[in-house]
Amino acid sequence: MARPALRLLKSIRLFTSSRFITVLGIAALGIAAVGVLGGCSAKNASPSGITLDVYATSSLTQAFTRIAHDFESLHPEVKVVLNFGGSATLEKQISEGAPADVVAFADTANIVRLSESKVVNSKSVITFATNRLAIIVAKGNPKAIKSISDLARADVVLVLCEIAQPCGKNAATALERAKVVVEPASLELNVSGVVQKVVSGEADAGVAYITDALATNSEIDHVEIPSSINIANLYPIGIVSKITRAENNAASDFINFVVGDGATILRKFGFGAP
Amino acid sequence: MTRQQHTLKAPTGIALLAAVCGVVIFLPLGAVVARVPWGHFWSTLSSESSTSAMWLSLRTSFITTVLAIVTGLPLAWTLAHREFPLKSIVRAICVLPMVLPPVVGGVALLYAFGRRGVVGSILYDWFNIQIAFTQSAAILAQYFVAVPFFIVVMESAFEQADIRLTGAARTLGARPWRTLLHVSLPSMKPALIAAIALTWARALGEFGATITFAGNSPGRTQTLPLAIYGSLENRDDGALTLSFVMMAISFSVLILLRQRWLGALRRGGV
Amino acid sequence: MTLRMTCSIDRGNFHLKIDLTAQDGEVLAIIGPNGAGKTTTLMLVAGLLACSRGQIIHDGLVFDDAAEGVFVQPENRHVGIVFQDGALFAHLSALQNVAFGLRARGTKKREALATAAIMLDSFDMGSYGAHLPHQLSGGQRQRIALARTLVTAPAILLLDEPTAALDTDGRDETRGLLSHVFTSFSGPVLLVSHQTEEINAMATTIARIDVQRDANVVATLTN
Repeated sequence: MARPALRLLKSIRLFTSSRFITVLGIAALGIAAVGVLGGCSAKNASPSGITLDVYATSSLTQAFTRIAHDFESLHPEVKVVLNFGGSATLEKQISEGAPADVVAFADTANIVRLSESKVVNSKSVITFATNRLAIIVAKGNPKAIKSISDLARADVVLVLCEIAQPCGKNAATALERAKVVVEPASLELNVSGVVQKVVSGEADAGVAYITDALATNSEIDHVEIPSSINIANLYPIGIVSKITRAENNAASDFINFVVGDGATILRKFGFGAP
Repeated sequence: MTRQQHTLKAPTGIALLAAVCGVVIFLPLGAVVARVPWGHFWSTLSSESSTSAMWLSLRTSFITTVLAIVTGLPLAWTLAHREFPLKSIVRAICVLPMVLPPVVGGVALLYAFGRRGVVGSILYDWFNIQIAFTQSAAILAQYFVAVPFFIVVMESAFEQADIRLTGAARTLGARPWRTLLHVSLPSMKPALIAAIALTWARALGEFGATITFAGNSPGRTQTLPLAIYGSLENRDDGALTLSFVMMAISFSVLILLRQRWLGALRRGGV
Repeated sequence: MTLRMTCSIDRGNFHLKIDLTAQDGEVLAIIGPNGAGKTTTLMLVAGLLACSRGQIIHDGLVFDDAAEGVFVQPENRHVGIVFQDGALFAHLSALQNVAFGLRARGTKKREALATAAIMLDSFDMGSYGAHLPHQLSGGQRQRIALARTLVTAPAILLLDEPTAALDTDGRDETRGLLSHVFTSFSGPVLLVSHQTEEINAMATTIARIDVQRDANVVATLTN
């Protein structure tokens, strides 16, 4: 009995000694620090692989997921990591140092700001698609919304994008052009919020992109906004300045793909030609 | 008194580990304070969107806290004093919103109280009442995420309460409500105050469930956290200013409450 | 007015069987090892616990009848209980503590405080009315506890180790007071105590709890 019991006792004493616990604590801190810092520096852990961080506006979610997948099959050494959000939010994050390699927005204002502050390489910026607004309504259009002026009706619960987002700004312009004054029930933080409110049935109508309408057309219907008052968003894409050469090459390849084979995919999702 | 505190040796390295925790909390908060644009502090604060967001937040979080006390106390009491089938499951469910991502909470609220929701559809189809996009929705969202904090703290307090106090009160002729209000709750003051503070703080900071269920409507559902997020998008410095205001309000309330805590403890001595 | 208890209680592994009678004027001391169920017995009489089987009857009135499903709530039994360290309400003054039972039973505030003041005087604590419990000594707290209970004129008086938490002076002081109280108290008194001198001095009858410990704790209390 003695020897194994003694060994067990000794190890218990070791594990509960104050010195051991201090060492453990410092080691834990060290590991955590390495984990945190390690994440900031060389993202490309494996010598054979490159990680391309693409920050894109929410409306590109489905199209870019498809494009990234197809791009990766053509370029197996590159892994595309997609990060979606509202254009204005992404722009803020990137200007505060978020580690993006490629950026794609729903309007030019955000990317112009990033170019001016040299965060994005202005020479790399090109317009790759356009989008336009549409009114989304519940399936079957139960409130019989026929045009943009119906959005002002008292019995229509309307949601729009926040004015800071491109979809919100453009909706406001379209409404102004149509001389319609509305009282939205909510100003969603991004266009996905607008879609979600209409899909869940909480809102009768929303102003979103035609691409959103087509993407969810099993759950909602849409009403066209005539081109006389509609705004076409220009979708720019560009490369962030502070990246490695390898990443820069991968980013160029990615953008070329978006403009080339990617264009068909974009068309399928409802985006217009640049 | 200092020598007394330092004579007994502390576990080795504990101060260092404590400092790490402190620094990680202080640093981001300090960074916000450092970058607040003091130049247009008051003009930002007195803008209509700022004042409406502040008042809305104070109003809704206050109402939420009151509702949490009135409904949460009975539930906490019941969980502490009564046995019933599946009690542990019921308790776990009551505490679940604490663990759920708030956005999920918002979605759940939609499924229950949205126009196509279980209860919401009845309200809408029969009474033409829509809860979403109203101040009530903001309150409901805050209540859902905050009341579990109240329940958890108070259930624990009830369980640890001295039954001789309630026993003495009952035998002296006090009926159950009088015993609860005049004997039990005063004896649990520190816990009660902590529960109220936690609940209110959680309600004040609520974002995910609010934006998903109540929407973002200035004056009705655009509480401070939503206004701050919107401000980030608008690229104005309102975000920093409003964040600082939130921090200042919460800080003062929590400091004030702590005095009361200590006072109650000192007085409740025996 | 007789207190008749033929009650059993099961709490997990613990089983207590009581067969006890107490008359007016009697001071029945309950003794036994720790954890045997002395306090439990008092809680049953007070109505803070319920019998699993059997009955408790006082003066012909059924307090508790497990078989018939009768249970009278504590606030309706007129049973007074004094705990080890008084169990005074910490947020109320001595005077407010004493007035508590009166106000709970419907007496108006002013009248209740006046009656309480008289009661405090009779316990020589008149000048301590405004003091909070933590400002009083152990012996003083027991005085207040007794005053608080007696002012409601209970029919039965229960005491759970009333002097156990006190120092020697407090103990002597409180014992003197208790003797006095017991002589003038008209109903039965149940006293739980470990102190032999106390029991010898004040008890008229003694009941012991016998305990058999194996898998379950089985205790019996008979007198």
